[in-house]
Amino acid sequence: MATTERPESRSLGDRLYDALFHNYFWQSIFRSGYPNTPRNQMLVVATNVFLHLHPTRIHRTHVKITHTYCLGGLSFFLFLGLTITGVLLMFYYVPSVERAYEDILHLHTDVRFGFLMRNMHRWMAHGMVIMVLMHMMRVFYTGAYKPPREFNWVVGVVLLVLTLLLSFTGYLLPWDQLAFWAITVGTNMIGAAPVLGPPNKFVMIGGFEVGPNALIRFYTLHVIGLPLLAATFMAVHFWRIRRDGGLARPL
Amino acid sequence: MTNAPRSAPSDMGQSPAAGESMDTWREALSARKTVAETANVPGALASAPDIEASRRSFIRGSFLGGLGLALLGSVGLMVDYLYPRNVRGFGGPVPAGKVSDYKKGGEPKAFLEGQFFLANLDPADSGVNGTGGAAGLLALWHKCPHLGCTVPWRKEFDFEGAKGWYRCPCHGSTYTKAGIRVFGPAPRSMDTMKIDVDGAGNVVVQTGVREFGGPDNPKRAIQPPGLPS
Amino acid sequence: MVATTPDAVASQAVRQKARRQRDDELLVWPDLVFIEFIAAMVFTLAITALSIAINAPLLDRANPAVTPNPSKAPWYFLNLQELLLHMDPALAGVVVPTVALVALGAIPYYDRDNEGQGEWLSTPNAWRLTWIGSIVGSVGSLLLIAWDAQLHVRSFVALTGSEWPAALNFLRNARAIQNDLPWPDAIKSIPLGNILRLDLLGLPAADITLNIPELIVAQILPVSLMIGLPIIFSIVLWKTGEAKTRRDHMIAQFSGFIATYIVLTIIGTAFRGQGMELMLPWQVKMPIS
Repeated sequence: MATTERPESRSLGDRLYDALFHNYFWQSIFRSGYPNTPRNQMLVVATNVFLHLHPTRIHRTHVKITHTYCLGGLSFFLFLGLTITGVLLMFYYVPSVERAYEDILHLHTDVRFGFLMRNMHRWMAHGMVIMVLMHMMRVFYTGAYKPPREFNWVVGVVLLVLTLLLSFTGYLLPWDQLAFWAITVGTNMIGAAPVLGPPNKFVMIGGFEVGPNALIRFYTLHVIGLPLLAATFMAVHFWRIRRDGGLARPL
Repeated sequence: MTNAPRSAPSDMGQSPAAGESMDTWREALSARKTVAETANVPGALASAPDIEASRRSFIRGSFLGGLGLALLGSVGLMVDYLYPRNVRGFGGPVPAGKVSDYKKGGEPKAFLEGQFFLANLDPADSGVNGTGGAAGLLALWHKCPHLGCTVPWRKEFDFEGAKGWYRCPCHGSTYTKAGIRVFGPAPRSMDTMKIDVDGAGNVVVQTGVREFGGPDNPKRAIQPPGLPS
Repeated sequence: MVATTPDAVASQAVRQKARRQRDDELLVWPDLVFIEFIAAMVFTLAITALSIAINAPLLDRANPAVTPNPSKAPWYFLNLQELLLHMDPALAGVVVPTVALVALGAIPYYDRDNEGQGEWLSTPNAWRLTWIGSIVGSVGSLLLIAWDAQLHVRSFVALTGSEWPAALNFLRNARAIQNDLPWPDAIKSIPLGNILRLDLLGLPAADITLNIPELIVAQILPVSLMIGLPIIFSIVLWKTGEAKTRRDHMIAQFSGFIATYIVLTIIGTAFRGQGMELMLPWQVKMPIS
């Protein structure tokens, strides 16, 4: 803290500020001061678990919005938003053939903001697919897959597949005609593969036809299996961005 | 304690460190810009850095305030979203058929969903397990007032020479057809629920509107139009 | 195509520059964190507004007895469903996406030169190649779809007023190659059981017959188009001097792939109606997404 030159006139606001932010408890949570000096600004990034995904400094070109359009970050942001709205939807949704459709109707008619949660989840899911595809195009056209980032591109392709699978498994859950037949058509495409197709489809939907087994399988994959897998790959993806020296930039 | 970081420098200013010349300290003290001095200069009520500082703290304050409001709104939305609505079953109105379904002096009907027994009591039934003069529909909560066990209606149970009692399986509290306690550790008689009957004769028991059981249980029976007699 | 020398040049360039130039660096807080924060806020507001304005589609309860016409997969798989109309289901549903994903993942292992990284379209020809790739990809896939949908026949009839010449019936679409050419009957059903003697191994005898015209139309033709056309495209780019490095070729191919992907997705989503017939978007009565 800078030395104050006005010792006698500390206003009520100042004292309140001190009481709130200069006490032992607050400083046990946030170890650096308010980030208004370069030292504190670096400390806040380095010591905060959520911010430490970033380096403390970054090259001037990378904060230009036209360099990345924030596409990767927004994909991650949509993933977080989907997690929050998804968890909220789970409170009202039972993945059974008898109840699934009624629960969605109930969400639209009885639950306050239920329609908003469902709509947000749906549109964010579509948005994430688009965002991930656009992020891939951005990385390609900026040549950001070049050494030493080759493997991170592969991790990105895996994340693209996981995003598509997350969206696809979620597609069945409302159990309406759109969902049922989209999944029937989609899994028939998998089942058409020469030797491994039919057994693959059989395992995937837990039977010969899309039914209760398929619903519970898709649900489990959608709410826990694939998100955990995606989170793991995301951790690798972000970690390697840092390890490989941040965003790619001209040599 | 809380003011320590800010007050420390000014404390040091008032008490010079040992070995420092008193004159240099006085000099420094008088040269220091104080609020009183700046306030005396006309037209310099607030210096430029002050305006800059207050502008920054205003922006910071409104930013954090806006963020706080947005977070508060989201949390409020989530709580509202999670607040259960249209909850059916016990605690709300539970339909219990038509008035005409209840024969006078018939066996009590159990409604597990609404946790109650409903019977059309006959005032002529005046035995030890009788109705105590109750006439009409009476809804009894099946929860024992003692420790909350579910009390069954036992048609064949023989007690004090009469058959047909409500008897709690846990500690043997025994109640008449009107739910009056005659035996056992229960502190009172069985609780009753409010009964609504609409013009078409549909019976709805308000399972959330309950009254402690007591000797006046028989008086709580209702006689809606169309009740079989 | 790339000799070892550019690598050496590149590493020299790295050595000449300071590893980190502090002057060119900014603090992440506030310069990056605030941008991210604003982007997140804008997105939250946009998605909330969108969700208030448009309801997610919800049709009738699922009924296995009633198949809606058309039944479509989610939009991001409609490119594959579009392929399904033109070739063997195994090829369209499994082989093509698998190969495409593996090829996508292999890009950095093919284009290993680290010159021009972190720069939008770094090579001199990159912009041109992006345009060429996109146009070739989208026009090529559109032409192939039009051919398989017999649009050329329809326009011929509409323009000349006469019938499509019967002698050219095999040019109507892909399936016509199988149906309207005088294939000898012998190759239409070759019993594979006589060649694959599984019964000699104690397994049940293979009960498969091979239909060569069918194989040509459903497998060989699409595969050779999907592999051959990009190869020809790259050779043309190389011979005309448009594409000089591996990066150039990758840009052209990737742009072509993305354009094809987008065209197939749009056609599958908006232009396929009842019976998966080609029609105009407003004739397709189906909720999108």
